[in-house]
Amino acid sequence: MARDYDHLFKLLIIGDSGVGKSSLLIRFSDNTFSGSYITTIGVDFKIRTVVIGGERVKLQIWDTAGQERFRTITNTYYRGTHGVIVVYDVTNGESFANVKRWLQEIDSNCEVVNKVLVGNKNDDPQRKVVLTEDAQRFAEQMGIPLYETSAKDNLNVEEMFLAITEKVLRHKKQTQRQQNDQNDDRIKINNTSGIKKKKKCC
Amino acid sequence: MGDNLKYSILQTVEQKFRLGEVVLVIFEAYQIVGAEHQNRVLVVVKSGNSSALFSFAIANYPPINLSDLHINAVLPINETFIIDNRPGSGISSHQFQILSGNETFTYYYYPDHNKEQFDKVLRKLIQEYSEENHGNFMWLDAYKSSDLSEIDLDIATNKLPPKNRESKFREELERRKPEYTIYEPYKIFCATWNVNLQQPKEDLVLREWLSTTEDAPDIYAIGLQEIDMSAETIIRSETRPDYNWIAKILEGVHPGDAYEELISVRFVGMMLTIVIKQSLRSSVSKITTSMVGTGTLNFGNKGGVGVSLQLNENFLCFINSHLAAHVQEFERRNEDHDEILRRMQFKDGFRTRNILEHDQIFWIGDLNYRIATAIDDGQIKNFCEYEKLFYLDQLYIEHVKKKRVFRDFQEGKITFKPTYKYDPGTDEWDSSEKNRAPAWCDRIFWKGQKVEQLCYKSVMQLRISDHKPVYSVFITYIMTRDEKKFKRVHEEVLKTVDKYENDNQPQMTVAETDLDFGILRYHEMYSRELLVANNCHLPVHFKFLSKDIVSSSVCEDWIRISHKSGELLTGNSMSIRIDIFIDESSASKIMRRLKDAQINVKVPLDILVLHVENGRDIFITVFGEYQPSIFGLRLDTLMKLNKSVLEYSLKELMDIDDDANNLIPFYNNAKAPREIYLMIDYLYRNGLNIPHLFTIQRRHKLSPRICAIRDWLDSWSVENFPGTPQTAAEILLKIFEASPEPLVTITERELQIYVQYFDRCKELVQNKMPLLNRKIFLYVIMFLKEIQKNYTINGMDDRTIAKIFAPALCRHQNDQFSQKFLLLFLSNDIKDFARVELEKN
Repeated sequence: MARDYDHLFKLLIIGDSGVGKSSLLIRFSDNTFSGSYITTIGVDFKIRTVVIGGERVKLQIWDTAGQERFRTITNTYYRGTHGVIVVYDVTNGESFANVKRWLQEIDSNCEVVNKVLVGNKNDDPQRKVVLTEDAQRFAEQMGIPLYETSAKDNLNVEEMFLAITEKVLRHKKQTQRQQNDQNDDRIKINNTSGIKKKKKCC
Repeated sequence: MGDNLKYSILQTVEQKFRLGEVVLVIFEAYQIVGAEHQNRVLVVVKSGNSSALFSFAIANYPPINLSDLHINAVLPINETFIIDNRPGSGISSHQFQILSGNETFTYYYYPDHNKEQFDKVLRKLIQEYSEENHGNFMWLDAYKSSDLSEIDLDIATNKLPPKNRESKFREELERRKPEYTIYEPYKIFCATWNVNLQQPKEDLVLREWLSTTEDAPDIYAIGLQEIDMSAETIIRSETRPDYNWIAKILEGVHPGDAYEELISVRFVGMMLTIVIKQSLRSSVSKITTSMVGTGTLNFGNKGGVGVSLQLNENFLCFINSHLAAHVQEFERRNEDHDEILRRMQFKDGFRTRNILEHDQIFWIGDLNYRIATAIDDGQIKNFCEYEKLFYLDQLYIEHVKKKRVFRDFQEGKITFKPTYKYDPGTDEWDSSEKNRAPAWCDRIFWKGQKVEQLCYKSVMQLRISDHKPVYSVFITYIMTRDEKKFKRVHEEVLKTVDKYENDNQPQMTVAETDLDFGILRYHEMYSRELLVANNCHLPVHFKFLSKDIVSSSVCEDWIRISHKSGELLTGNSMSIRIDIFIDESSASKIMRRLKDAQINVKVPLDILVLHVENGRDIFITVFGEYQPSIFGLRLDTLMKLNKSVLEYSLKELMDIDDDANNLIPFYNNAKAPREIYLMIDYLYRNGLNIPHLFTIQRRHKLSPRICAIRDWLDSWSVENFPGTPQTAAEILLKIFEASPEPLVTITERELQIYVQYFDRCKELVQNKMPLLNRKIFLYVIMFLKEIQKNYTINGMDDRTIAKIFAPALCRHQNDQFSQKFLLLFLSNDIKDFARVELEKN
């Protein structure tokens, strides 16, 4: 057993301050929840390895500070990211309104990246202000899957992380397949033209 | 120790143990590690019929949480366990030693602690063990491996790098092996026979020897000796197996199953053949053989042959040996045994395994030990009570009594007659001339866990040799991986190593992430201390990161960080000093940065990224307000001010600054800003004859008077000038350096082309410089010419002046052309030119 994982992906969690980014991460990595609110002042990461279809996928999940003043700095953490989790708070309409801005941040900082939209704190219908239908409509428009979660009650958290991981994994395999196909084509062309070239390593 | 305290410690300790494990007594002591006294809680725990002493290190005293206690030793109370607290014999009255296995642990008593109960309990358990002499210590396995969260001092103090995830992963899988391992029974048939050079004739049937069990054995290990001892066989060191014998063996095995020969290894007279059920072939791997000759010149007339193989998860080893002969030669036999043990190596690729590196070992053969007796040989023959003679058996003496050979090996109870020496073809003792005494030459030993001997017998009715064959049947439980359980454990182990990795992330704490510098003023030094600490159990390396990919600077250029990187060992802290000094180059930048700041709202001046290697990043925000000063404002802005700069808000000032196109109010027909005028005027009156008024080294750059002059200028003070000619000269330079744009707006490239020609340079001044700048420039030049005139007194020649003023006025990368440019104006007559220009509106 050489390595303890088959794939390594970097995920990034972004969204307004106080929507529960760190809580989602801690729920997923340690399966715990702390009611006390500690602002993330910086960038934190945790590791979790999941098994998908018999393959071990090691996730390095980055949790960023949501405060406005850190926006320009957190941009630098988008580099090398495979998947981005955009979080809003279903009890806070403004955080949902800001999702658009966060999606723009992603577009201006990464090329192609898998995304998922997450409405957290979905555990108290009384306080919910962002309706599922509205969020769903928006998510469909943007072509991003929506998950409503509660880190506190451990609702849908695992599912959401697994979904984005599967998406990233599928994306990786698809890209590999395309590359292989392209390589095959190149070899065919080379063969017909009678020039022998070494197959390039990717 | 107070009872309450003791009770609370007991409660914590008990949480460390599982159901059915009873804490009998706890005792506090200490150990001396290096120069340190380290607290220990010694806990005696009983589970079923066995007990053990646990030694815990204490991270926090008194231990309240489970994580406060770390196991530092687990000592089963078995035959090797000894507590020694007798003073004398090198032990002082305040210390005691515990011996377990081959290790000695020294503890020290706390003076006020009552040791009697602890002592009593331990001695009772030791006695119980010696009386019953058994006990299952399997329950200790769960505690023997290192606790995952345990602090490794070597790692914490940077002596060792932290374990990587992969090695932790393998270690964990190995540790949890019992959970996914099941034990499957295998029947192993071991047999040995010295055939005394006889060839297997057709009528020889081995069934009576090899097929004597009800069930078919899974594996046969059959060792023969003296299949051929001819001189050429010995000289040639014959290693080709004897297929006559192998065929005979295959005929003789149990008829109840299909068998095949797995491998045979021969060395001269010795041959070992392994026969297995065909159905088992796929479970066996890594089959290797080895041979050792211990006869004269290491010939193979004596020695051993062996086979090593892997069956599922266990390594098995079979050895067939023929040791030195003759009654008196038992020491030779011991040495032969030693040599086989030492020299027999099984090579599988790069891995070499010796005999003892196997899970189960079966050692058979003609070991040749005799009965050491004073009574004559004839008497032995007539003796019927062989079990009494057994105590005189040399091998019994060497093995059991002296523990000289076959250490840790076991042998079953011998219930058969000596297997040597018979008249061939009979069951009669040797009647030849040599008249050998009977002996148990042919023996079977084993070593390993989970091996049970079912029988140990000889076969009288095979009579071709002067030895009788011997066999023994074993049940061994072979470790096998349960794939389903393995998958589950594997996933759990992944979780454990994830946790390990998360827990082993280097962590650093900072006392505050907001550093508020309050009001900042030009040319003053402000400092704040950023206290950082390492509270994790790993050494921490930190550094400040640059915020964007383009620039490599970690902070704005007016901020200075005392330690841009560093290392902190566990438990250490340090203070990083952050300095802010707004000088000429940064004054206008900070005003621009803060122009939108609302009054009384803290504005981030900069955000520092403190990066912990292999860990998180912490953002440190530097806050502050800026008290505007004339330094850093545009020169035309200075002209537009109609009251003290202190009476403007930063926003107002920046608005004027941004509105450069707006003309200077007509009422202001001054040639230069007030501040420049004041300095030059002062210097005209007080400075022309001062030697070293300006210096290339800028000796007065950091003079404490600078701030006084700043306040005097900023407040439009009517007091006397608080400076000296030298500091006034320095201030003049600073005003030009601080303004966001250079006074001379002619580019380096333009000067490079035209600097040879004074007329062209005058044109450049006229065409490329705004009127205000032109006026100020000529005003300054006229002043500098006055200084130059007093060269004999003040020592300032035109070259020196040009060298000092060119960088301040032109701010070119290379001062070569700007110096020449200034020289032209300093050395030529510019009166007419200046008069015309200064009068322009």
